[in-house]
Amino acid sequence: MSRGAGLEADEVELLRAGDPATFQRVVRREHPTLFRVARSYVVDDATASDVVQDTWIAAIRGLERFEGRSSLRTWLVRITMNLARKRGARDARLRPVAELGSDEPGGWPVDRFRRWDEPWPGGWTTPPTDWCELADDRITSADTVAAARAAIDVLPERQRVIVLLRDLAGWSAEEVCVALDLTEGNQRVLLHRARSAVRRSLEAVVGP
Amino acid sequence: MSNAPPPDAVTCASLVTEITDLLEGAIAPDERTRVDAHLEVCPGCRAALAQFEVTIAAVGRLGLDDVQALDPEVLDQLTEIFVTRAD
Repeated sequence: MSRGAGLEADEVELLRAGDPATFQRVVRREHPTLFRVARSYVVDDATASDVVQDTWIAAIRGLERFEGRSSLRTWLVRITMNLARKRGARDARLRPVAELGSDEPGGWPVDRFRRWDEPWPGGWTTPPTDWCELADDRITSADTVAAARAAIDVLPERQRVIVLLRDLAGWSAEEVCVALDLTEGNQRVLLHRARSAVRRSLEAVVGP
Repeated sequence: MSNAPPPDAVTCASLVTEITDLLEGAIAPDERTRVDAHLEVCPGCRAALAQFEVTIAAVGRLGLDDVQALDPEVLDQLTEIFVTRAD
């Protein structure tokens, strides 16, 4: 989903030149993603709106220093994360964080797999059900979406932002690596943990 | 006597740790061959893979439409700050 580098360079030039129409277009386009990221740090919509607003003010002030080494939206989301982290610091102590145990591959508890002293070691004890065979309305139900949201809300910070940017906002792995200073391998590990935790939480709604 | 499979063998327990790598195309070709061969014969792991795909789709359906809309007044104020910024 990365946009053309040439187009973006033009956009940055127009912003530097102070073109208000370009500014408004960029604000409208990036607002939903920045809001989602901000909202995942803070307790309410109003605070998230404040964080996004402060992001734009910081971006306007920092535009001259933006070197274009990262994409515009990567730079913006980094500003949002920094501001949201400060605003959310007080709430963060109260905020529940649930991380999967390392002994839960893919979010399945270890007893879903046969032990090494059993026949077919490492095989399923009870195989997962095929969710694709279920009626579509169960998968697309409001309950399923609500369960996904609740699971994301309690993820540790980096996993939360990664899964939002990759699977909700449709960012590329490369962009997320730049935004969060991650290697590609680390990005995949954290994304897999996040998806595993969300998958696990969907079991309660969709089935095992 | 140990019943443990050889270290490079694909088991259901090992495959589910590689689902994101698989979906990202970040698996070495020989490992990819072993994973594909396992998936071919293992309906449980095919279902596990499908559960991840459904999960990813569910996150996508959270959508960006219901985020609090940008207040037009705020956009005007920001634009004002933008056009009058000190160069």
